Amino acid sequence: MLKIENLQVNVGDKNILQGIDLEVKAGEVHAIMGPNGSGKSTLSNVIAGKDGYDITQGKMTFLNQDLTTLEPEDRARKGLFLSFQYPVEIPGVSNIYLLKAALNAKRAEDGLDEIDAFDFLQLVKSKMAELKMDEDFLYRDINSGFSGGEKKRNEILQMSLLEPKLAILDETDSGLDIDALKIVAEGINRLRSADKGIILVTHYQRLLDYVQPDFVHVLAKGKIQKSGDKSLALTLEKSGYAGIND
Amino acid sequence: MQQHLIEQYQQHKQNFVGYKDEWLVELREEALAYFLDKGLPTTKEEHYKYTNLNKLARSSYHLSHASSSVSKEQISNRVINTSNNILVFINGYYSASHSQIVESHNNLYIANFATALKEKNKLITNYLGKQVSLDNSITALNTVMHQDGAVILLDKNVKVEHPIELVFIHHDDDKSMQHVRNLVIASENSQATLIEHHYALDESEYLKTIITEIDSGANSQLNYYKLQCENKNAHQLSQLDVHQHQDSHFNYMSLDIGGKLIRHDINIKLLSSNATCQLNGLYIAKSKQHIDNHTCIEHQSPYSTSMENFKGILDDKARAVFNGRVIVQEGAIKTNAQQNNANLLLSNDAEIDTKPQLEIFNDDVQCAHGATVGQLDEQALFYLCARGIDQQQAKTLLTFGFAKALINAISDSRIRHKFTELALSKLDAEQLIQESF
Ligand SMILES: Nc1ncnc2c1ncn2[C@@H]1O[C@H](COP(=O)(O)OP(=O)(O)OP(=O)(O)O)[C@@H](O)[C@H]1O
Ligand SMILES: [Mg+2]
Repeated sequence: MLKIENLQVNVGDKNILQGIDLEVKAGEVHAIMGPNGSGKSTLSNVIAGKDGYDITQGKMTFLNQDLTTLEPEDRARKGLFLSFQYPVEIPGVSNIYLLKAALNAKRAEDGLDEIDAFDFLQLVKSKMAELKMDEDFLYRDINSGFSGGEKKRNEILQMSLLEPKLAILDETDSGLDIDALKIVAEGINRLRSADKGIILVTHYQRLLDYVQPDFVHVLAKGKIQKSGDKSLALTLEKSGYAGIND
Repeated sequence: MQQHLIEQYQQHKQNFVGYKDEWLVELREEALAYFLDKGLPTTKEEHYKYTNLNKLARSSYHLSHASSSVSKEQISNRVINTSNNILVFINGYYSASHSQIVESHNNLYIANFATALKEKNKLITNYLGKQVSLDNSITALNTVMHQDGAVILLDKNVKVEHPIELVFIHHDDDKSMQHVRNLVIASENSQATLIEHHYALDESEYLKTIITEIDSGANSQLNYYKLQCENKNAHQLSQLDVHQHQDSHFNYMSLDIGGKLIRHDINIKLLSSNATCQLNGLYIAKSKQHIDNHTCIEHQSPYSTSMENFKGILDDKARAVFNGRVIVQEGAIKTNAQQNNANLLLSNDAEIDTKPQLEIFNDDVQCAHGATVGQLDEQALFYLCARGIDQQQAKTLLTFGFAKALINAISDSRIRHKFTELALSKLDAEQLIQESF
């Protein structure tokens, strides 16, 4: 469903992605690992449509459509979801409003009516229960004053509600305690199915113990240096990124 | 303007409120002399540096006419609650038929100025012109020509149950002027909520001056709300003078969405110990609107507190001014004065001049001020869009979100609702009303 070919991206004059090739098919889980500053978030943001990146070369399609011509909101409505490495605090806009507006935007795209207010509340509360989130979070402003772990869980709540076709989770496991990691992993596994794709950006094996990837890629210096199956992650865990470039 | 004002004064003086009260006629003429001498302030004067009244000074305005073409619905649509105490002024003249006093007893007096001058002559004589000295041209202009206004007198321990709404409606020819004079005396331990509304029913150009004097007695609690929704050709120059006594609380919150040129002077004197004031304001301006809030808080006694929080949203070529002057006198130890002014600029051509002005004459104080000018947060915008919310909607959400906390600080739900509704309509975001409640 996602196909990236020779993607090259600059920020200012800095060449950050230097030719990425990646294909994610329905039903697959891909893990992307790599040292700090190697371009993992850049890749995630470019896929989601964030401004400020200059795509100098390459192609990027989602469900056979050229992604580069779509606004971020259109990408989201078509089923692309990015769980942010650093979810943004948005004072003055409540979480419940965002959840409802996001869901309705997607429903409109799918030709459905707005969800009934009561049904929505039932639905979102059941998702929150799965993630062991207190209902108070609905009425708080988006991520405002949330702890690091609470923000990540809130991202997964949005994902569970929107049921995207392709989810990119940028270090959603970072900053989670042991129990929360398990809860979040269960959330990801609930999404996992034959018609959905998942990209896990992570530094740690522990998430991959719960959500076993079909492929593992190592992104370093703006390129995918190595790809393999889940055993590659275990190798990295032992010996680090040294020697990966060769 | 000066020459024209003499003609207007001569033409109308026989009809003015209190034209038979010698002291008032003298006061008007003294004010006229002052105005003829000084004229409107110019940008050469420090406190009018950013607000240019030149065009106004060159124009001639005639005294407003009474109008009988305002329906009851045009009022009831606009007030906060039709079961409140409501005083309606159309083009500056009191309209008894549109007004209603739902609470009246011996210890509470709510009337228009003309009536009060007859019924409470001595008291009015004592107050008027005593608190407001003829030290500026706007006061002078208003004093010469004032037509009517509200007089509210709360005796000791009176707690007014229903808010008192003062509704000022404009519906007149081009180039009319109206001058409003309000007086509120809240005696010891009294409580009331007042709401001052301004609306226009047409697009004609006009000038309105308003002077409101408030005496806030010991341990009194007053909430004062101002909703300024003048039309796009309106000029409003207003001055609010509050004298606060021991342990009194004065809460002020304004919303400015209308007008072409708006200037508010809010002067608070914390005369006795432990007096507290909270001044909040939200201004939202578009096209070429100009909105100027000048506040001056004078701490004269120990343990007094002032909290100030003004926020502005400016789009297109709109311009706003915030000047927050705080004076802490020598004896006013343990003063706590906090001031904040935050502005959101939605266009490159919008402009804000914000200036704190602290004059502190003792060391034992806690004073802080902050001013910010910013744009919409790009990260937040992307976050919302990445969830499928379209860009325009996301901008509106963030813009309203910027102001929301200030509006939500209004404790009365009906009043809060009204502020929300008006702010959202100014932002073309009526659809967000559900989100707010
Ligand atoms: N807006 C920007 N301006 C300048 N440099 C940028 C910008 N965005 C990213 N970079 C640089 O691009 C490189 C890749 O950053 P990116 O955030 O994609 O790394 P990452 O792989 O996600 O790292 P981490 O594991 O620490 O999250 C870094 O060197 C970063 O400093
Ligand atoms: Mg990153």
